[in-house]
Amino acid sequence: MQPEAPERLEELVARALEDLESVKTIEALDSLKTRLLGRKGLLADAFAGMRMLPEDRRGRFGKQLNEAKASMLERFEAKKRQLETGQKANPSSSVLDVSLPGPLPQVGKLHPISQVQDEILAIFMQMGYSVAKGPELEDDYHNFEALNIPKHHPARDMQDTFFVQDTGGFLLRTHTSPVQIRVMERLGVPAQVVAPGRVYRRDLDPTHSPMFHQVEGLMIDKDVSFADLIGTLDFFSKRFFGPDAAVRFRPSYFPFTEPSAEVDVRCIFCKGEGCRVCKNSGYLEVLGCGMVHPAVLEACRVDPDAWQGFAFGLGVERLAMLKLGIDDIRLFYENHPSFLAQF
Amino acid sequence: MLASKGLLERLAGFSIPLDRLEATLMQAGFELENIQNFVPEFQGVVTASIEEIRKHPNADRLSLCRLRSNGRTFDVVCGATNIHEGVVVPLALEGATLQGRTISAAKIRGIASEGMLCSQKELGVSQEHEGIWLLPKGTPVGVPLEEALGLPDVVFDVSIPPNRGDALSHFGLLRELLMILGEPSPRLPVQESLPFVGETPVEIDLAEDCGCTGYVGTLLENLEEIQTPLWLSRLLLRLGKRSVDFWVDLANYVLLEVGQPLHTFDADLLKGAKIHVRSDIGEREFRALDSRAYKIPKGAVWILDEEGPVALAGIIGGADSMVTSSTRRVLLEAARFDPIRIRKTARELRLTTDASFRFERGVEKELAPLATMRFLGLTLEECPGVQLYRPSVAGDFQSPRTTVHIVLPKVEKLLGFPLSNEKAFDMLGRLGEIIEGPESGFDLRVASYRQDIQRPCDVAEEIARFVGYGSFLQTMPKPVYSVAMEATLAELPVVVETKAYLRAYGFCEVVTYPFSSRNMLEALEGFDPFDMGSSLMLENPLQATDPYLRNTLALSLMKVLRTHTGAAKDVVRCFEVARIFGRSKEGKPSERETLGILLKGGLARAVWERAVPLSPLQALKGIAENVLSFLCLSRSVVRPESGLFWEANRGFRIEEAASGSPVAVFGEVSQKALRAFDVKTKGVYFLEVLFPQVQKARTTAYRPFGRFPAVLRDISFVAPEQLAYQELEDAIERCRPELLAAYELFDVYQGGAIPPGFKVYNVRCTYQSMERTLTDEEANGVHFGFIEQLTQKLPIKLRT
Ligand SMILES: [Zn+2]
Repeated sequence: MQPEAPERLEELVARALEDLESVKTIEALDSLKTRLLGRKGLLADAFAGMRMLPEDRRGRFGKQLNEAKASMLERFEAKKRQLETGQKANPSSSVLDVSLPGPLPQVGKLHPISQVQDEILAIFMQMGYSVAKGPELEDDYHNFEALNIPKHHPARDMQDTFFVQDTGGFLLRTHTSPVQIRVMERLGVPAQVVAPGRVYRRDLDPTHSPMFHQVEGLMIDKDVSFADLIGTLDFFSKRFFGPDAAVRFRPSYFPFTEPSAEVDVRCIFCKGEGCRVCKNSGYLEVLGCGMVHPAVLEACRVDPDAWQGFAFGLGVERLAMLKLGIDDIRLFYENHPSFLAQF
Repeated sequence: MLASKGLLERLAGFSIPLDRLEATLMQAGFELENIQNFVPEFQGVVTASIEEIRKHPNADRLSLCRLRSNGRTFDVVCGATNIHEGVVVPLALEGATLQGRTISAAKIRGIASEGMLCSQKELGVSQEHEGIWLLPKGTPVGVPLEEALGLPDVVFDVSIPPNRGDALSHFGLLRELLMILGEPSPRLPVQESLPFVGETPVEIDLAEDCGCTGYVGTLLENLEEIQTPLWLSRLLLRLGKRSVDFWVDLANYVLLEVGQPLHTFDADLLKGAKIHVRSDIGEREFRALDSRAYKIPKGAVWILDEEGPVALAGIIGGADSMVTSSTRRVLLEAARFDPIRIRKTARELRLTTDASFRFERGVEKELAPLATMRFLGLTLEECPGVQLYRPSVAGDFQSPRTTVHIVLPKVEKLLGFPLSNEKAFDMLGRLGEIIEGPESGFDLRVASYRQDIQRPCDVAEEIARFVGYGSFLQTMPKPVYSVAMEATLAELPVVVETKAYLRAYGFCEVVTYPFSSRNMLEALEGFDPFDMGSSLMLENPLQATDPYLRNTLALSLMKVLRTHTGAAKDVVRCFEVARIFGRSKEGKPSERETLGILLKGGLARAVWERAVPLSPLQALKGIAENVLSFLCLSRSVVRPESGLFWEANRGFRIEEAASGSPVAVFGEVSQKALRAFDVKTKGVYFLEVLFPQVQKARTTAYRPFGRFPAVLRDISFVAPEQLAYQELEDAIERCRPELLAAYELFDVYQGGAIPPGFKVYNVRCTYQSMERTLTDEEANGVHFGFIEQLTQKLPIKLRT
């Protein structure tokens, strides 16, 4: 038999204690004792193995072995007394206090934004969406022009853009919508993708951050309709916020969709009564969407007479704040250990 | 835009309940916010004019006033000194309430007072408490004060989409409301004819391509000083505008009412009898009527008199020609400016005015002459002695009508909603004229103000709005299954796997900004582990100190370290998967995705508890190897990495063996770098792994495995200290017997009985045959042969 390596001592003790727990008769207890602590038992083997260790480690291991042996003997005695008096094990007896906290393995945490993003993606993947990614450094064409936002269009005001110096007009993308363009350019149509990612706008206050996360959605086929869009996002909202979520659609404006819509869910804080968070409207805006504008399809060399479909974009932070009850977006990027440990 | 319910109702000619208003605007897609109720805090107060003021016989500081209101006179005792005969004042009659206080007839110092004259504060309309509120000249006498003030009113903030410039006025908003409600369109409140005394003696000269396609200039003369009427100043106040003087207030009103920005010049301050519109003027200084000096970029559209610029077109007027209370002649401007030109200049100046905001979003093309008539009509009402000149017009205000060809089944297909012809026609009739074509479908000749309707999809949205998004059918689309898409978009699982792996090993994910400062970049002394090249810089950073985009996650994670050590954490285990940025040698901007890990205070105990604790460097290397295995990276080699970011001899780089390009760096962060990031701690380790640009699909082929019992044999080698494990492994691979199914290094140590300058490698070998059970003899034979080969190849000895 191989001498037991020091690493295995703990395992050995743990197994022995488990076996000891399950012993029901004095006979079984005796045979287990022989197997573990007898002259040819496992502990004896371990002692033999110790001699093969280098000197510097021998002492420490020997001490550990002796401690293990003493504690085991004590437990065998206790178990024997217990079997003799015919008493059942008392969970809070001195043998093992199981009410003590278990030795938790220290697993880490995923950032709440990741968790919420993964949840969003999972819902859409269940509906058959693939996941796409795009660059964060974008050119003006993909971020604006191809999305039907020409230069000097007032819609550019809706997003305050970070421009990169000396790059011939590169910028940090202001939304994940350019991934729509990249997906159609690369893979054509039909298409059904969601694209998560970071986006940047020049803004900082309790509800705005210069960097935040969006999940973009795009579905193009022969006859994907506005009613399909409403059905899809109603399903998403109910899966994400719970089956009782009340969802409201209202017209909105985005240059790259027509018709466009904004989706609100009934305020989860006041249940629609009106409160500070929902500015007394009883509803919270959660995402924007619409039917992909024919000009966008044309920019991707897709024939708008033959193909149609919808796109949507949702703010991950916004959904995370609603779901987790976080009132200041800046908490996400401060990365305070006491914040990260909560989720 | 702030909108007044009172003004909407006045334009409509009927009242609209607030909830209906709200619901209708919601259905239109115009979001309503911050609803403010303006209700009078008084009751029983009327306007009255002071006919006579006498001294109170028994009190020096009091006076007796005789007022007239509703054909009756009232005697009131008053203590204020700002009143004089002939003014109109608010009079609280017996039984009136002022902010809850009831006024009763009383004897004051022996004289009966039939009411009370009120200050603004007493009426709850402002904090002004000095003296009685003297109402503007022309305020009607004998009417309830609330009526004169235009109360009650409700003001709300309504957000108008940027493509709906036509709705940026009360009239436009009302038109939208009535359209959704299915009511007939409202009529512009414009007098058709006015008593003109002659032609406006001002010539308008529009230069070629000057950014202005139509200009109306109108002269008004014989003006007296007019006070802004009460209803108007109060309305402007409720709509967030300061009342300035009559002419400015009236121009503001017409803007808010019909949506046309107007400008008023003091005609006596204009030089010459000609107005020029030009845009070929270079950059120049301009003092605007907000008394600020602006540097106006070239390309701006200018209004000039014979001596020079008098207004920055569509944005702001000049200080030198602005109207004042002493203005006696006014030149009114109503024009049509190019949205893009106005927007460019306004953006460069970072100046948004009510006018520029509307011009950028497109003012209705036909509006300027009509708005002029509206302004003149209102002037005539308030100032009957005015002499009006017929407007002088240059350019044109015709707008070509857009025609959209509609095929109903296509609209139905887009909306996923069946439509009856009749219903569709009813709805579309509200947008313009329907012209039935010879072929399928029909043409819609869109009303001139709806410049946003260009294509069938725009019409589809209109139909959807009429129907109401809330009453739409909800259907689910048939999923699209595209094989190409699945194959190309398969990157995500690697990131998911990496994150799950690190979480299991006790690491917390963080999310950081990519922004960095020059100081931070310098602190890292050119640390650029993945050759991203020179750092990219933002033109307009949020914070001027942080203009750079990171080229390594170290820049961001060191800030996280500061947060964590600041929170007195002696253990920091965090990671982030994010982009880093740089510029290739050709100057092109580039970005890559990397994993960054920060480690201080060792790995989580439950995972790594060992007799001999693992060093953080070994741990990081292990993590790097695992992550690289998720990425399906081919063979790699580890090399020492120099640079001041690392402690001496404690930095390493993992390169792809074939190409020599770096795929990961790890090591102990130098004290110098930590100090530069203001972190007062040590023992900080960092790992960064570069994710490939194209993730290979991971396919694992099955290999048959042995089912016969294996024989284990341990070997203990004594080797010179300098002999790297890599060399031993290379030798094992070269001499590997066929029956050696697996081997594993399970211990390395030095000291004790081992002579100085040597170390021990303990390797466990597993021998196994695919065909039969190995006998001890067979295994031993192979094993000893193998050992002999190894000891010949390398300067190692079997430990005995
Ligand atoms: Zn609420």
